Amino acid sequence: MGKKSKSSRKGKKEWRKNISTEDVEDFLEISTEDVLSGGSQQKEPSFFIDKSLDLAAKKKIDKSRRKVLWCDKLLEKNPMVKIIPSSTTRKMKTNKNTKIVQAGENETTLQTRLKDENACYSSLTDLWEDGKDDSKIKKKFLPSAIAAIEVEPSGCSFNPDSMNHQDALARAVADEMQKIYQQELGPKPVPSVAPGKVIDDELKYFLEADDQCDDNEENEMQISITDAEIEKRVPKCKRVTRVELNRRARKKEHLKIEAEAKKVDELSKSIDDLPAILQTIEKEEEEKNKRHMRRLVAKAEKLKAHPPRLGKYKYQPISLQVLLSEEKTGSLRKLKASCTLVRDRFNSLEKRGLVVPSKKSGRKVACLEPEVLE
Amino acid sequence: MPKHYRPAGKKKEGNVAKYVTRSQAVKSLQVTLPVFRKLCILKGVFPREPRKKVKGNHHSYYHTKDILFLRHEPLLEKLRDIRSYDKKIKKAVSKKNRDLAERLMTRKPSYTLDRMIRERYPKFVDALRDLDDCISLVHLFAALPAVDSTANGEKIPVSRVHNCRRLSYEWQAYISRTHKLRKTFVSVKGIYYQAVVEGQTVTWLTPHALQQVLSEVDYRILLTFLEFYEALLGFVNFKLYHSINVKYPPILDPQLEALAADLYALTRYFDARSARLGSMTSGSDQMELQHLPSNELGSLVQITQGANEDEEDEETRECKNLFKNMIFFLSPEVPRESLLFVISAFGGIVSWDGEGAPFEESDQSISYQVVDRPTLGRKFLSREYIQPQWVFDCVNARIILPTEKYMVGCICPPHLSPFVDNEAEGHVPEYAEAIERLKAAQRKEVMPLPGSGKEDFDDPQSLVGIADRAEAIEVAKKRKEMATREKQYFDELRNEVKGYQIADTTVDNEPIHVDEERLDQDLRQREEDEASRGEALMGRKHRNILKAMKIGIQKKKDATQRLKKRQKQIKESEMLD
Repeated sequence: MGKKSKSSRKGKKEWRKNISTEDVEDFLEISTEDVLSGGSQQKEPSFFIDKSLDLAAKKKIDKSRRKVLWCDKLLEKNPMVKIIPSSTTRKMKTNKNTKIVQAGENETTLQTRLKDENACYSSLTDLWEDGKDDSKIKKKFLPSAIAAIEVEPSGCSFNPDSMNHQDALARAVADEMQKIYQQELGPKPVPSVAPGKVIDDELKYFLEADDQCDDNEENEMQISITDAEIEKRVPKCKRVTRVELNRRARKKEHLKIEAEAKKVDELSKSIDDLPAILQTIEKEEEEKNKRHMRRLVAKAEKLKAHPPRLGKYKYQPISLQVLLSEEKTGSLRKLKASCTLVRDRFNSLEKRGLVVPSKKSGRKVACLEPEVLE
Repeated sequence: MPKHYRPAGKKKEGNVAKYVTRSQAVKSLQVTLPVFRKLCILKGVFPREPRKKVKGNHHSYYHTKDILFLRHEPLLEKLRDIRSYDKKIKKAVSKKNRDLAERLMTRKPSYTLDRMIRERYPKFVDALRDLDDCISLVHLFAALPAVDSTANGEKIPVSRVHNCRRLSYEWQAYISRTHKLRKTFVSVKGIYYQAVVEGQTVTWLTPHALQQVLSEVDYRILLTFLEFYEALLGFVNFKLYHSINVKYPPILDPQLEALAADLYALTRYFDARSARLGSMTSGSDQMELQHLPSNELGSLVQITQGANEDEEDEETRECKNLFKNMIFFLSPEVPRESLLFVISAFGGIVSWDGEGAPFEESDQSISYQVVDRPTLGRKFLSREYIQPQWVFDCVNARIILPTEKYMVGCICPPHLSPFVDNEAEGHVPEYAEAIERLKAAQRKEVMPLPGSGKEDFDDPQSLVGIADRAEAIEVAKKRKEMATREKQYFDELRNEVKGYQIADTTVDNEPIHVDEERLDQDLRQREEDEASRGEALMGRKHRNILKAMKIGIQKKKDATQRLKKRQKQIKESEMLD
């Protein structure tokens, strides 16, 4: 229960009490009067025949009569569809339940047949026939500058020239060795087994006992220190005299003047040094620009080889498909061709940044590592 | 007070406003992840890398504008409808209401990609530019085994594979008919082709005719790409076929189709169309029949010659006439599809061993038979037996190479890549040089004799570049002669001025002994002088750039020198052994 409020809150809080019910009461009065008195003479008759020519209403009624049902409209389009009357004879009703399955067809083939029949064949027209330019041409964003099909170097042919073959082999070997070196140079994984003696279960509880002993010793040391401190005394402070205060004020002014003089000195020095300063600034700017250019160029070079980091996993390029020296037969029939072109195409999609690399794509697939030819 | 206060009504700014993560995008579009992926692929919306990844490194980010663009896509509604429709079917099936399920399946909603393609490629040239990936993927799927059951998440419907096959053959038929193929390269991965269509170079990769293994990749993504590319290739084929007045889609001979001779059937279709439209010969009706008389070869040749020869550029004509009047026969062990395509693209006539082939092995008019066996049993004398690499090498070199090196049982010379510019690399393989010599020899037979052509003797650069030693010596001799004559003239003038009697001294007709070393030095000196004259006029920046270029060129030269040295050493060591 707070203080008594000064403003009246009749409108807000006691709205239930403040609604006027005059109009409702009036109406009730009139209606009861009518009922009891049998209706006044001035009131209009409740029912009458409308003999007026209301054109608007007629039009509306006609319009809705002219309208066809949506389902009928759809069927009208197709001349092949025959209109079946809504009332059917008994014969037709019994035939309704026969299935449209052909003999010997099971569910999967039925589904595929229905799908094929219903497949929406786009009407083949010349899409580009008028050669008109659509006004809203979006600026084409190419995800990557890497070409869709990168032709392999000459050493990957099925019957390569020896020099080119050596080049290609060297490249493949270099890639593999890089991977091996990366693995070796990386941090060692946490070992599953830690070195040391095995501790028995009973001794485990005694492991902490030694630590407690140390703690006690430390506490003793601290207590002794505090005792020593109590003996020292804080020196008493004297009252500051006028002499002291004046001396301090003079010193302050001195320092101020000295500081100003120093500033002026430095300013003049720096003005003399202005060209040198400008030169240093220029050099720094040049350095910055060069660094910036170098970084841009390095980024662009990197982008030519693989996509930017688009998701959780890094892009893993696939190894170069080269024939090993012993596989080089020179014959097209005996060629040990690559049978995993799907992987290569998917990798190309990832390389161009169209597909985000996933956990599966980075997984190492067992592949033959090319050996170095002596 | 809150740390980051933003006035009410002001939107977010910076990287937060420009980029959304994938999960945010999926939530805002109110679809499931597979549907979102599909939509992105069909629309050409791809994740980007923002400067600052606001929500962490492990998300993929999309541009906000792209996602808003997706939101107004009508295909989104369609995909949602399809999804809810699928639920209805599933419900009917699980309630064992087979009737309803069937009825629902007949009226399933579907979508077409015409509008999407039109949006992404407003002009035909744009579509041609993006055709590399499209054709490669379609060819790849044409060679994959179809997998109908969803084992390991892969499902490749048979109808799609058939569709891909059809589209790939149509494309190949067009290219070979209009002789637009330019380069081929057979590598371990597959066979690379390059063609020039309406000024755009299109490069694609076809797998070898092996059974392709299905690797562990996400096939749903690949199939979505394939869907888009199938539609694109269909429309491109339509436009290309119409440009040569052939009806698309072509109706093929069903017997040939059943025999998996689609490409041949398409070429027959082409011939029929062109014959009907070009020269109204009476033989055109016969083309439609399945069984042809044995002298059909002659009529085929006639009809292909009568085909529309309207404006073709020089290269096309050159390619068309490469294998002109040459008739090939393919043994069963060679890669048939590839060779069929390549040979007919360069104007040759080809047949193979099997039903429905135009002519038999025993036909007398065959000029080349392509075999890949170590030894041959029976040999016809009128034809040459070659390995398939000969065809590819001829196509790349654009001349008919001598067949001795490619005969049966020989180890062929190396198959070089036409996509690599040997001059730029620095190292020119020996066989490439041999081919160049052959080319030059062929060209010289046609051109007038050397020496009468305009050669600029004054430019020392051109002289240094001459590969033939003899020519250089000749030229230097001439110049020396001129120099001596000039000198003599000036001497005489001087003498005249001084008033001496001009003795009738005959010109020394000693043979001009050309010292080769002096000659080299002379030439080099003159070249340097010319170069430095230009250099002095450049500014400091240009000079530095020139310096850098020279250093780079020098490095490359050093590398090739090293390689040559090593080659020599290897050869010497081999000789010693």
